Amino acid sequence: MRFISFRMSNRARAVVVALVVFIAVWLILFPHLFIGAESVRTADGWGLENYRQFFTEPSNLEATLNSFWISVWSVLLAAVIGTPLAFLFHNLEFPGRRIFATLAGLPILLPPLVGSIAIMFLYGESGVFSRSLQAVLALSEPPFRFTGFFAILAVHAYTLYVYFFLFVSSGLDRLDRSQLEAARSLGASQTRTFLSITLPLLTPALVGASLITFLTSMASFSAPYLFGGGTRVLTVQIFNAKVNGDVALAYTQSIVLVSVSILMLALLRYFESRRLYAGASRGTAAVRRRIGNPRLEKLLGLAGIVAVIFLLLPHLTILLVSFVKEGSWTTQILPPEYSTENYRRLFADAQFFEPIRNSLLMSLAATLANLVWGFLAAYLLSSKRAFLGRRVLEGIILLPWALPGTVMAIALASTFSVNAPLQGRILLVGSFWILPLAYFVRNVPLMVRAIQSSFAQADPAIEEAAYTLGAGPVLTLRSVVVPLVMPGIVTGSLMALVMALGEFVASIVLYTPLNRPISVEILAQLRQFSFGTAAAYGVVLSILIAAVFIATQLLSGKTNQFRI
Amino acid sequence: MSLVLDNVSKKYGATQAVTDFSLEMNAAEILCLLGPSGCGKTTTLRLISGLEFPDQGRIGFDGHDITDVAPQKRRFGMVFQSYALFPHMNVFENVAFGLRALGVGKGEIRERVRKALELLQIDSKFDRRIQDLSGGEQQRVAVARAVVIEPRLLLLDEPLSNLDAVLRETTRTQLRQLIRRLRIGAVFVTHDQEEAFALGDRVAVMKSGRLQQLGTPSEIYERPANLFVAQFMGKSNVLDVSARNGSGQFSTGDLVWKAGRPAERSGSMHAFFRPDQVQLGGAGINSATVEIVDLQRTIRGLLLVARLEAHLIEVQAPMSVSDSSLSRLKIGDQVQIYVPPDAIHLFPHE
Repeated sequence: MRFISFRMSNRARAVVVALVVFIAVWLILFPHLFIGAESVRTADGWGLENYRQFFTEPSNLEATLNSFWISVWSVLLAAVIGTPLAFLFHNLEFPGRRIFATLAGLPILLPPLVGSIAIMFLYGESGVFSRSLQAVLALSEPPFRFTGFFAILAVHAYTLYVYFFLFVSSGLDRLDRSQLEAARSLGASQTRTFLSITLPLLTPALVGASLITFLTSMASFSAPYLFGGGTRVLTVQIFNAKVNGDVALAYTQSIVLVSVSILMLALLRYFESRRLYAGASRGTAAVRRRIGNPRLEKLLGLAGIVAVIFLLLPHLTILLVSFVKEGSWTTQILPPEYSTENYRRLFADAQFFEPIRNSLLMSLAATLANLVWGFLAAYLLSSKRAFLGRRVLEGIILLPWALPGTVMAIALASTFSVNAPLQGRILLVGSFWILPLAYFVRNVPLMVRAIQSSFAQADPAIEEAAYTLGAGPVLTLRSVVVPLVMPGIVTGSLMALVMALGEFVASIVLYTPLNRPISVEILAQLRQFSFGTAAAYGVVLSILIAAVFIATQLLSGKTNQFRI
Repeated sequence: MSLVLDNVSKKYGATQAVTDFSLEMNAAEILCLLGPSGCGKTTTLRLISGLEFPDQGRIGFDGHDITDVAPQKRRFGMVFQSYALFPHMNVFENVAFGLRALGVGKGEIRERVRKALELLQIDSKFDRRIQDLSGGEQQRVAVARAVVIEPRLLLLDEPLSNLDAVLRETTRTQLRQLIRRLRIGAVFVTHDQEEAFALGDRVAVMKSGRLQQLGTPSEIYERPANLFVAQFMGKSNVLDVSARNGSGQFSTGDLVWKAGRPAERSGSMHAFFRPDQVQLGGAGINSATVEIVDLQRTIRGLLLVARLEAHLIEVQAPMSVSDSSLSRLKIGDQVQIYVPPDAIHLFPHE
């Protein structure tokens, strides 16, 4: 992959490089460095006073350990659910396999907040499941309180299994069946083949899924915020410290949270680099087995389908609740009265529609910025030519992916809280633009990756061909390069839009009455016990996201034909 | 004189891709850059195209220094090894692209594209998508796209390497005829000697970024400048010999041989001759009795591996079916061979 640039366009290129690197440093790197610096500021200069306080306060240690252990257990639970499911859907053929395999991967698209409130409607104290159990067992109180350590863990397992499911599925797709057959032909048993061939080859997928599950879990805010009860975790502590005005503590907690995440990242990277695995061959397509025993086959297929339905049950519940007439559902197991009133109000009442409008506007603005900046960055990084700050740019692009959203929000909130252009700070907090900025920063890795992968697939000679035919840089960019990476541009933009629409973690820190997004409104409705309205917002959000996702599929199906 | 390269050098990082490369092309000449992979031939072509700029040296064209001219200003049509067709455009749009870039009017574009497609015999496919073309058709579109802009020089980077063997030969012939008809110069990069010999008016043999020999195909075949060039041109026998001063005489163990031209110096040398220049039979000077170690009957004739004193040599004898004396040969037999003096070249050790 090498894209070219020429001597003659040196000056124009230098301007683009400077602009791209400047924006990365200013909007992404600088705010994080800022809170890092602030965390070592003391009343009379610099020092580790804040950290001394952090580590002598038991509640902080407790929160750190909770975050860590919740993440470790989340990885294990998600692996236990997601991995067998991937094997089941990959290896067996049974009616409905394709549909349920697609459904099982669906939760990756849904914002964590929607997943969390969906679980609340099902397993929460007044949830459908809890009430059913209470009725069956004839208890006077709900059978359990869905709060604390285990509630957070349950929500994580419920929402994060999907990483293992998707990573292992695609790992299995890439497996070379001839390698497995070779092992069997050499006399290895099925178990041995699995342990000595399949598992090592799946290591990258498992490591990747573990890593992303761990990081997501460390960064998780919705679940502990809604279900944490008395269980402290770092993200919520940071949020509370910020709300209480103890910013020094918030900075220090942020740096600790980031340190744990990055330590884990480095550890897994190291572990992965020591493993040798070569997926060199393309491999033959997977052949799904029909097990000899038709009853066993039916049973296993059924188990898979039941598991998927179980995993999707919360989402069905939120759909149900969205039709509940506000105030009608008191103590019954299932809501007694249904209407479309909740939805009608969302669109008819300007006050209810405003969050939807806000989210759409802010997400579109952020995505547009992501697109322009992401294209330029990906173009520069795909060129073989060195430029000053290349390494820095590559690093900064990964930053928002590795850092928890809460930390990023705190960083933006503190950096852009005053108007001091000479310090690189301008006043954005309290304005409409702080949230689009946050969405932009969060989606930088996603957009750049998407466009970069399109560049990687394109033949660099195509751009060169345009030049040799007499086309200048502008014409080449417009009629050759951009159409060439269109699949990445489309996928990246739509995914960024989806992520921004459902964003909650940074939104709750940064929103103002001017720009309250859907996610924050859902929370507000929950607080007023307007479950139906909250659910309706959740469903609308999910539908918006699904529409964008389907559009991606259709468009990428069309644009894929561009590849030779 | 059209293209001039004057002491051109190019480095990629620590790798010296092209070193002190000088060359002068005649007008409307087909020049082949020939060499093994990694010899710098593609880099040289990219330097000519303007897609790369030399670290040192100058490049001239038609009396102008074009060293720093951007590729889009050179108007050198280029055919890429991967063809580099625009996947989001159909055949017509691909070929029209260069004319659009030049600002040619719509009517003229249509006319010139039609002519170019006719010339390449793919006019019936003008509205096809690139993905729906065969490899040979894609190659033609790539050539049409490069020649439609009426380039001042045509650059071709292994344009035949992605075609199958049969198609490669017919396309080669058509390509040569096309370039002749357009009366333009062409630089053709290839690693295939046969291709270079069939296409090139002159061939430049390269190794490790340096020009080894520049000459017509027959010059290069008959009078290779060094052992590398000699060996690269086809099957070869190389014997370690000791040469005698001044004369063309040299010895291999007990036998004394004579080369067509005297060695540059005496002492240890390589004697080089081709398997197909060895004749069976003969007596006297430059003949010897050898023992057959292996023999293969191929469609090109009889291939013998024979022991000549301490050396193993290959002998390629054309064999007609009726030639019964040849067909009776078997492993272990002793045969007489003769190597004409003119076929033997003496090269110093590198």
